[in-house]
Amino acid sequence: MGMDKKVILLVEDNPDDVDLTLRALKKANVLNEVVVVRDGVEALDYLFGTGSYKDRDLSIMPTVILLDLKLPKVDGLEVLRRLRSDERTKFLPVVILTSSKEEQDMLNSYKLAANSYVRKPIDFVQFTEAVRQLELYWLLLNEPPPMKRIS
Amino acid sequence: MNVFQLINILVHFFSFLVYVCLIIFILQRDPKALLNRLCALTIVPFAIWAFAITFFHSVTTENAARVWINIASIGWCSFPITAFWFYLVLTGHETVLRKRIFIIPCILLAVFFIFQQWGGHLIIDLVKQPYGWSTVWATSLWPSVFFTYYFAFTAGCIYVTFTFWLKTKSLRKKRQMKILWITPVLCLAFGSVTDVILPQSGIGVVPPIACVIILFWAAGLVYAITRYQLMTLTPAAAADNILSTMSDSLILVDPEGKIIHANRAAFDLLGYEEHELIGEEFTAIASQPGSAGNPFSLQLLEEGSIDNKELTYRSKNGKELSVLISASAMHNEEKELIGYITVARDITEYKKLGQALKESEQKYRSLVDHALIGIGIHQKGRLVFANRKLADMLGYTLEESIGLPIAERIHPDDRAMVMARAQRRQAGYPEPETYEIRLLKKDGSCIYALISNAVIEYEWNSATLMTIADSSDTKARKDLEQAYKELEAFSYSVSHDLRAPLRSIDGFSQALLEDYADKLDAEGKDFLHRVRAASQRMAQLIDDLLKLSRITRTEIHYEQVDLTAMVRKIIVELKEMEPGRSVDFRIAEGVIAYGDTALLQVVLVNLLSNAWKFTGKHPHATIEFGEYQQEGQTVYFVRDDGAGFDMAYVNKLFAPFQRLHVSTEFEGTGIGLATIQRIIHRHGGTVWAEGQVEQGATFYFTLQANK
Repeated sequence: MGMDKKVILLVEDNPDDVDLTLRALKKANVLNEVVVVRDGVEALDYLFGTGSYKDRDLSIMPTVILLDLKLPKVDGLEVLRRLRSDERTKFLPVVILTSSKEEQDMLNSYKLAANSYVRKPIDFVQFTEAVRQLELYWLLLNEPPPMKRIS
Repeated sequence: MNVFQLINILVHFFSFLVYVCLIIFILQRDPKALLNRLCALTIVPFAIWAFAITFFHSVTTENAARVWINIASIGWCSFPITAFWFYLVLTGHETVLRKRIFIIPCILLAVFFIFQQWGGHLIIDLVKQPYGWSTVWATSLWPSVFFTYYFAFTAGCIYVTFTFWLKTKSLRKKRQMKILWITPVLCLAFGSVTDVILPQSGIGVVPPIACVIILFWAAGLVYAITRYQLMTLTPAAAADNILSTMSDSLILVDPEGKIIHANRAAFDLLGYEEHELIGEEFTAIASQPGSAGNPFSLQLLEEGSIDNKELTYRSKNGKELSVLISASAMHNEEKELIGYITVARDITEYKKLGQALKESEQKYRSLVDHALIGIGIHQKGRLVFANRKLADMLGYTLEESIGLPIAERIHPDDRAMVMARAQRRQAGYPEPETYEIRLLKKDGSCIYALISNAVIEYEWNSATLMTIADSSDTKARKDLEQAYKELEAFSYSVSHDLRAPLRSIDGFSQALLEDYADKLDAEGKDFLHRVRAASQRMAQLIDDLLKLSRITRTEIHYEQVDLTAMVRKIIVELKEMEPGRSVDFRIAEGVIAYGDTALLQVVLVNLLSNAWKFTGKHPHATIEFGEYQQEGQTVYFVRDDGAGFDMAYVNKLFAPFQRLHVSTEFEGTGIGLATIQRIIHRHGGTVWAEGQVEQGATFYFTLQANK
């Protein structure tokens, strides 16, 4: 059963950022599976088992979603909105991981019940540290919401 | 009876008749006036005296003569008292007469001397003369006592009149008083000679004719009263006066329609002389506007009076005058018509004025009604007048708009600003007359409006006149909003897209340093460190640029800001960050500004941090904050005695990313002053600087546009 398997969903369109994030996770000794999706549509497909993910085992839901805001096709806020309006994904922890420090973006994210808002630091050393702390908190310290089994 | 005796008798009898006539005359003029009554009372003793002396001289026996001289004594013993009373009232000492303690002794004194005469203590003997009888006064003390009494009261009359004559400033009253004190002096002098001195000295050639001489006095009294109307104001006198001096034209018309009397105002109005107007037809000068004939007199005949009817008077030079006329028919006791009284008021000028006022009112009314801007008056917080445009702007009908609470129509974010401006304006501070606010429409939507206020008087109270122009749709605003939107989009993409490559540059440089450390020599590693440092600095520049653009975009919330308190807080933080510094702060007390708290905080943090930073190389520094007034504006300033700058570069100071010091000397991206300038400009103020290398710098700013 997928209950014990902790998956991280990384929603990020910039391949450089994907590589750097994965590198940071590796440096932080995160051994969990990281699913990388490149845009909002793919993210929603993964989460709801549609499109290219229609055969996916939906009992496995990510322990934490690292969500960029600026995404092709469907942007991060829209992904978050759809997540929050679906019973299955309503309580999934979502960390907004973005370049933006716009007040409006932060406000909208929290309005849509984002669990956390982290601005990617330019300094890679700081970025690694941020990712390490996120992993520590969301994967180890935080108790995830009890999930309803989806048949 | 010889001819002397006859003349003597006739003169006295004539005097008596004259006295009686004077009494009747004075009482008829106004029987109710105190002065007239007293005047009559004063003449009564004279009349009794003259009457008794007439018979005194006619009788043949001494006993009969004695009876008549005793009757006469009623007159000559009492007149000093009555005359004195009269003079007292005349000179304004009326209150004395109301006191019994004065009145009763006076009467007793007169009665006492009458009894003295009757008891044979004054005139003791009578001697037959050709003209009648002469008198012989007693040699005892009593005649002297009587003369003292008599002189004392007469002198009292003269004294009060004389002092009044000296005191009064009215020329008219001076003339009256002159008559009133000269006549008794003369009468007293002559009367004393004929009735006292000559009989006493035994030269009885002149008969005692004091009561005849006193005729002049009595006549003087009456003349003074009637000629100068010295008496208290009477309705009869007042009516006479009013009719002749009133500004309305009075014309009396006989039953046949001929003018029989007119007052001065009528002559002046019509331009006729008295002889030209009297006897003329009233219709020759008066007509009803727009109709022939004279229906006015018909109506008068039927109804007995007309009230404030408009007529046209034609003056001598042909000018037509609009008058308001009131007239009434007068009848005698037999109900026969004796004439008409007409009173007319010239309203030509009023009519012209009224017409001008009406035209002016119409002009302004249509100006206000058709104005393309909203015009309204508010008083005690409520709209008391609005034109159609203003009602339309607010989404109300004209009727609904009256009584609207004005504060509720102002956008909540602007209320504090408007109120504070109003208060400051009333306190005499210079405030911009025109500024932009947001107004709320009836449906809750919001419009931008340029508003201009003026304090006026409206219905006897202070009110505010507002002219309001809808600025929501102005091209400039649309352009500005468009620019804001573009800026917003630009900032957003800068924030995201410019930073992402930087992260890659930094991230992969670090990856190189970590993973390929063994393949890089020291120089290669140094290059990578420089790449990382540069990308991080660029990230800082991007962040500062975003901050600057954010200031342009954020809305300003006006409120009272205590700058002194704000400065003190910032200083505490600066000191905590660098506790070792020796810096003297001079902070002005109670500096209050009106603006956006958060933005003013940014300004002061920047200015004080700069001052702190640029004094860092000096062992001891002074930083000053204060305000002063200049051309009706408050100028705030921050002054330091630090590194300063060369005034040659002052125009580069406020441009973004311009730095006058190399960053190794003083840190910074060069965005601080540009940020300050933008904040100050957004407040409608100006910012400028003065400095000298190594002598320090002063930064000044104002917060309102200089009107």
